[in-house]
Amino acid sequence: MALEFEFSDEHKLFRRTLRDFMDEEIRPMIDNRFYESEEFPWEPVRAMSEQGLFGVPVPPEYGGAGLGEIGYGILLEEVSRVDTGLATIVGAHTGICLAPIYLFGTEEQRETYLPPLCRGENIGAFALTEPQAGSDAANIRTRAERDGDEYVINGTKIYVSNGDVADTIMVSAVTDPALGAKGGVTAFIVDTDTDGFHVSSKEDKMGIRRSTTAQIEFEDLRVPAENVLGNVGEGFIVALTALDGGRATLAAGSCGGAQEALNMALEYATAREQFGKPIAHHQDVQFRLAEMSTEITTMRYATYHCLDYVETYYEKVAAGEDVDKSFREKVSRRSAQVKVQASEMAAEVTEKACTIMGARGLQEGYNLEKGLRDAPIAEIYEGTNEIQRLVIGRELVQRGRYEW
Amino acid sequence: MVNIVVAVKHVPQQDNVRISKRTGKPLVDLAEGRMNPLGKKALETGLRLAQQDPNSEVTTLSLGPKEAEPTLRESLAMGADRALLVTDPLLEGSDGLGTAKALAAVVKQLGNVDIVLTGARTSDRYAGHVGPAMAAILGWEIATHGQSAKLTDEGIRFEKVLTSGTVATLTVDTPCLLSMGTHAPKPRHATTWGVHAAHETDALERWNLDDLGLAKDEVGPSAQATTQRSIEPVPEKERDTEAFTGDPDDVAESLPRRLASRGLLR
Ligand SMILES: Cc1cc2nc3c(=O)[nH]c(=O)nc-3n(C[C@H](O)[C@H](O)[C@H](O)COP(=O)(O)OP(=O)(O)OC[C@H]3O[C@@H](n4cnc5c(N)ncnc54)[C@H](O)[C@@H]3O)c2cc1C
Repeated sequence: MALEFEFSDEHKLFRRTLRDFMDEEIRPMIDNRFYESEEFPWEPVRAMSEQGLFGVPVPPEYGGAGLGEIGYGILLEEVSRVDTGLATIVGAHTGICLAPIYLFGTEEQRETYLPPLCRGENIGAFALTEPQAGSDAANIRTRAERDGDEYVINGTKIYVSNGDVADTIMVSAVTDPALGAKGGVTAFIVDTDTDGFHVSSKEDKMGIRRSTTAQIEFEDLRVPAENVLGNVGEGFIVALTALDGGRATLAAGSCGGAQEALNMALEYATAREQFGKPIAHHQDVQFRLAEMSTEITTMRYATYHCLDYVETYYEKVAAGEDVDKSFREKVSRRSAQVKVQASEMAAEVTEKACTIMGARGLQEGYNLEKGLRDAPIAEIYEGTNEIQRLVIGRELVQRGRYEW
Repeated sequence: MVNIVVAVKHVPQQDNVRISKRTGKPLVDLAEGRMNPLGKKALETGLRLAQQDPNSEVTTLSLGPKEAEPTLRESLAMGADRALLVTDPLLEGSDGLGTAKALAAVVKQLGNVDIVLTGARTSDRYAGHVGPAMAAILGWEIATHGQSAKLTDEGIRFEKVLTSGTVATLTVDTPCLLSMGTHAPKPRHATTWGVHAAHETDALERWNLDDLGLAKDEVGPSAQATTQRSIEPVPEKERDTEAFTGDPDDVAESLPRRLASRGLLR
């Protein structure tokens, strides 16, 4: 049998309607206000949630669109074409808040939390990073102590995307300091209208300024024990499983950002004449464009192939089935690989586009300048590229041979 | 209860038709097709009419090969209640009249249809006669090139923009056929939930010629009323815009002379 690699009719229609929606309805809202302030962009977010973009991978029985991980990748790719900040909002909400609740939630948790999140009436967030625990996530100190039927949470989380507006936050906290990362961390679903929740500050970032990033505090915040997500002590399994898929969809987002940069450069290069002809007809410029398009194509193949694996993986996890260790490792490795490669490819393609566009590439108000600010972010969040390399390399060396 | 049928054609993505050098016929690539843009506006109009009456039903109907499925699925995703694809090898060789006969036959088979909506023309053929022919076959009232349609107690209030730019309002009795033109409202975007529901396996109904109650010699190549001798690109016209400025009275007075000197008045 030939190697089949084709989007389903459903995913094709989804991409087409999504692209039209983003270009016609959302793109006109992307103005220059973001230079002045980092306000949460309610207007596009409302429109996008009514369009059904806040619960794409979750099955319809929980209020989602049922388009799986491939659909979710398409979502981030197409949204990133228009604005990486908006993609980050949907990504933090979907990939690392909705997805773990769907994957590890009890029936009751799913029924309570998923429908309003899928409708975008509630916004989700994911809080793992702390001041002393960035790459070294195992070093988190936010503490959750059992008190009767409740847990009492105390601690500080930083760089929480959507943290200032979220209704529901997936929080990783230490339940057993003696065990630490090996069984001592638990995931909690926290409602932000609970006493003891505060947003202490908001970051002022260079890029993805439509996505807000907040520092949040828990002060004797009480959550009922039924808000433990997954098993007590398995918080890292919950977080890492969500990040396995998250990374691959981030890669899809990078592919979208890169396409936007290429298209801008292409439009400019065919319109701009120097030395008597459009610069696109100068060989160096054309070669650069060719390289950009080639890199995007290869990356899209690898990314969607990986997402196909993630989809199978998540179906099993959601159904409570055992996942083969080697399969889990493969998904994890692949998603780390595409995340590294796609984020660096997007940053490079954006820089090439800048070269082609000359002075316009750096000018405020031109979308490419926004692209230059936005592209590097994907190299940092959901595990820096160095940490991904560390994980890929460690596994490779342990195994002693290349594994596909 | 209002029963609405919208006829939508699956057309090639590109508007500029390429002609085969070998056969002289248009090359039709439906694999990457889309819903005829004016048909989509007709569907939007149908969905808005349906919103006026909670008991109404919107059925989309397409005559075409299997490749036309995405268009019908998109119509479901946008909010149609039923979608019907009529596929038959014989129908593929039909001209506009044959198509109109087949579509009218489906409408008769469905029964109790109050309103048929179509696009004023298709983006691939541009003939604009399928709708009117259907109305003639059904013996229904027709109003064409609409910008909007509303249910009222007197019938359907139909607005159209005339070439002069003014809006004409017509009242049309049902059953009727309405064709929608470029001024009709922008079609809604199918939601993500709609896209998924439209891909349930049994979301589409499939018919063939046997379901239409038509004899084989009524449609297909042998029943063609038109013959296409050749298709050639029309050379592009040169256009020019000139503004006459000055005192309005003077300009008006000199206008006949100026137009005549440019060969525009005789
Ligand atoms: C815009 C944005 C949004 C974010 N959203 C969220 C969110 O929603 N939720 C959340 O929990 N977190 C979020 N984060 C946090 C993000 O995951 C962390 O920034 C990331 O994990 C890196 O941590 P750090 O910034 O503390 O860097 P550090 O860990 O201090 O790393 C600094 C540098 O050292 C390198 N480094 C560290 N350790 C090693 C090592 N062992 N080997 C080699 N190199 C190493 C890193 O790769 C990096 O280059 C977000 C971050 C950003 C920028």
